[in-house]
Amino acid sequence: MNLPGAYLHIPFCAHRCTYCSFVALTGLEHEDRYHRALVREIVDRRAETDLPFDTVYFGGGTPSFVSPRLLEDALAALRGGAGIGKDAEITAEANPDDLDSARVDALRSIGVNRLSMGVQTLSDEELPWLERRHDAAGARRALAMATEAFPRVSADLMAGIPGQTRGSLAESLAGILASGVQHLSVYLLEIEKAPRLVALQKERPDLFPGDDELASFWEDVHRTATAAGFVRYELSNWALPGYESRHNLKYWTAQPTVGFGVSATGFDGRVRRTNTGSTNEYVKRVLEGQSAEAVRVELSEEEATRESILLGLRLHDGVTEESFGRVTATLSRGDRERLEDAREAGLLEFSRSGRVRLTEKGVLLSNEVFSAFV
Amino acid sequence: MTDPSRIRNFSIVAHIDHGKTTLSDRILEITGALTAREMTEQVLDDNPIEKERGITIKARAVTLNYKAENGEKYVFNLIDTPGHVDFTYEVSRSLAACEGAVLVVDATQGVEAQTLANAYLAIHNNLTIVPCINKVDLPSAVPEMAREQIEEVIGIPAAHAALTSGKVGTGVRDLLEQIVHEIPPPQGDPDAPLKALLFDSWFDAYRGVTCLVRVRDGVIKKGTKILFMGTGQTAEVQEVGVFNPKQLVVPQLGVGDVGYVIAGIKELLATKIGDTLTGAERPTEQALPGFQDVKPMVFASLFPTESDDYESLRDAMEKLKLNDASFTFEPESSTALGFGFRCGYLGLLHMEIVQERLEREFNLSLVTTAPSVPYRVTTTRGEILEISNPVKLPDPQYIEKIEEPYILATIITKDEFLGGILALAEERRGKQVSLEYAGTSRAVLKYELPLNEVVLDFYDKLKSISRGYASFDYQLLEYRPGDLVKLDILINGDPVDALAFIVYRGKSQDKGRALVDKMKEMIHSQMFEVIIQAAIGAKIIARSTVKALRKNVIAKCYGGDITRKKKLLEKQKEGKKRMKKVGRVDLPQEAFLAVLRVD
Repeated sequence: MNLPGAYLHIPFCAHRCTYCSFVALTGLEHEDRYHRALVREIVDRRAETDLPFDTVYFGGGTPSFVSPRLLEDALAALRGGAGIGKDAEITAEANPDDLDSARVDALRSIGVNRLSMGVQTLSDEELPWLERRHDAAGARRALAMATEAFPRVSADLMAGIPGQTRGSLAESLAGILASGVQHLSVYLLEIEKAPRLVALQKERPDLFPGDDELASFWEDVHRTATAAGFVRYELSNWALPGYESRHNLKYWTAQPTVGFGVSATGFDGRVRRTNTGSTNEYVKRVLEGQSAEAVRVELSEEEATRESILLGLRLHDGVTEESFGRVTATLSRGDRERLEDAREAGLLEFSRSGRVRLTEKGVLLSNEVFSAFV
Repeated sequence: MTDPSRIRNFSIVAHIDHGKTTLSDRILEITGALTAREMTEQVLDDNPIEKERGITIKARAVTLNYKAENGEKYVFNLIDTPGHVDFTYEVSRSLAACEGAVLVVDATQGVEAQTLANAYLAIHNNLTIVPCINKVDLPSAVPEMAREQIEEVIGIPAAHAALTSGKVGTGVRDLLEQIVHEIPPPQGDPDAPLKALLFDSWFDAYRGVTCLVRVRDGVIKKGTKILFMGTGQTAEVQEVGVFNPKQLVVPQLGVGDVGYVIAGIKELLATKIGDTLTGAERPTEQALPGFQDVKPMVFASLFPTESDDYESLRDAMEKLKLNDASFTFEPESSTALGFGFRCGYLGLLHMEIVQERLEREFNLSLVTTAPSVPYRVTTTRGEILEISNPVKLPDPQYIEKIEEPYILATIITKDEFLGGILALAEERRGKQVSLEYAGTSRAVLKYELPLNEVVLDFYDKLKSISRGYASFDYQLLEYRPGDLVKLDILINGDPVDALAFIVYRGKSQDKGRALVDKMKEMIHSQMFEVIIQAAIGAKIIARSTVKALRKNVIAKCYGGDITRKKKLLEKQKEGKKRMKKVGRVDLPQEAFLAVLRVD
């Protein structure tokens, strides 16, 4: 049975990081109203699923920055509906500098059983470019505290930071792995939406790793993580066996999710719904008893199956040859030729067990493959 | 029908941007053909691309009534001429329909290359030239300088040239009086067999072809059976009339009249500019002189970026051709680019305009190949071939000789740019014919140049060397032998036929090197390594490599991101769509024109 996952957006941060493109407010001025609205939205939308949530994910923003009571009340509201499964994975994103023993205890006591730590880098030269508040030593302490207190911890690592080198990246990765996390997500710094970084790139292009270098970063991370027993179960996620993110897997396998909170997105297999991206409007609408939904996209059957291949190919196991063949048959001749080229270039492999997946090289050039499916 | 002694037929000729259209509009306004409100649009140019570029392509004729200061009423037929070097023949036919020409010279610029070329065309057609110095309202106007140049460079008296401003209207009445008194009235025999010059024609779906004519002898009216002497087409006249500027039916057109003839003709090709119309039952003995079948001198191929668009492209070109008989095309099949068309144009500007219209008006995405000229090849077996597509050039061992078209170029420039221009002309295999000074700082330069050196960005280079000041005009000379070779471009080992071009042997090495380097800049990294080579016959003369792409990845993708990520992918894909896939390589459209971008 496809049990649903719940995503809850917590749009508050102590400080906005340079590269962030998510909906977030600085400071806690509006926390109370948002608290009430979020709980109200969950209650109002209880009827949408009669299946218990299998995963809950607090994303942000910075869920570790707000009062744990907010998260607690949200969980309680979820339980009051179809409920939360007994073995549910409950994740909260956390910032290293928010974590002290009191915060750790509080999060654990309300039921959070997985932390996703926004480490990004353990280099004190690189952190200032991102305007993260922590320093490397603080991040290491927070990681240690997290792995001690929670059975499952993930860390985010960022590639492409100004000044980053293969050496500094290896050092950050080593520090993260040494802390005992069981899960690793690697991001590419996207500077397009960060004016400060765009300006910096104009002035000091030499600081930014080029595409070839980034490709090497990626290969280095994969080699090191694999050596430490991690498996790349998705294009940019590595985990020890059994420690995959159950929540994120729902996105990649098109299982149902419900999104609560400002800018949150849910998907039921055919319809993708997204709440308004304005926190103010979100609170106002919900507290007035209206829906906060702003965008609703219904995928055609063709779009839905194409998307399932696009997302499925992100996964280590890929997709079945049968479903791949069925979907590619609906593509234009040009797109089919492109996929044929991709296979010849060694980006796609067809396994004997009847599955199609991206190769090592294919992971780095995955857009060449994916663009055939949009 | 007007008494011929009261008719004045004239054109206005000028260098581009010297204010011809504005002055024409002002004349229309003063003669009452248009109200000031209607003047907001420039009437004579009715094609948006022409308007945008400030160029008039199709000739139009308007019939105007003018009451002169002596109290007499006159009929003016103002024949507008195309304003670009590619359309010399059309200009000369429009001039042949007149007795006089108003030569407009910009008081801030002086005589330019087209002023000179047009003046000579007018003199050649035995026209009376009425010089006119325009834009005198501008603070930078120096009418004396313009006057001196007209006298020195062109060699016609200009002491009494009207000083006009088309923009504000000063001096235009003086000019109109000069037209009355200096341009001779038309002469002809009303009782002789019909003899009329066809100087423009166009097609519309409702009425078929409309011909603009100038009657020399006889009369033409509804019911007249006419014969086009050059093409042999016969037809019965359905309607004759004039444009004033609105279309106005008249009973007949007689000696000296300029007007339109509609005769139920469906094919523009049957009505060639410069042809003579005569009566089918009582034809004239001698056609008017000067009729030519104009041939395209610049050829380039057009391919749709999406092969599915082939039919739409053909439809679009057929529509375009309805109104542009000088544009030619025939189907072409390229191993690299699939199905497309080999198109012939009068010149480079004509080519640009046609391509732009196809893309804009018909919403097509096109790949254009580098322009070429028609070569005359004599094979070892003694055949003479006309080769307008480098792909069709026989293998070297079968070629006895290749001949290429030459032009006589006239360049007028400030002398400070002379050094750079001389160097450019020499580098393009030019042979200097003359170099003269006009006034203190203007040089008039004549060069014989191979047309093949001119179609590849000569004009752009000239403009950039002279910071936009030098002006250029040309006329075709003849074919001359040339030491020419075909340069092939290979992508991943396979020759790409659409990239081949013909080049002077002495430059082939440098050109090949520069071209592969330029293409390397233009071709993005992709899944496979791309090897670009230049070759003459079997010999590779240059090579460069575009390394394979290593990274094209969107690293993270969670719930709310999927839509955004898909948009990014779509954007990437759109970019690729504008490229042409050759084998496994995506080539951007501009790569096919890379040869225009190398020094």
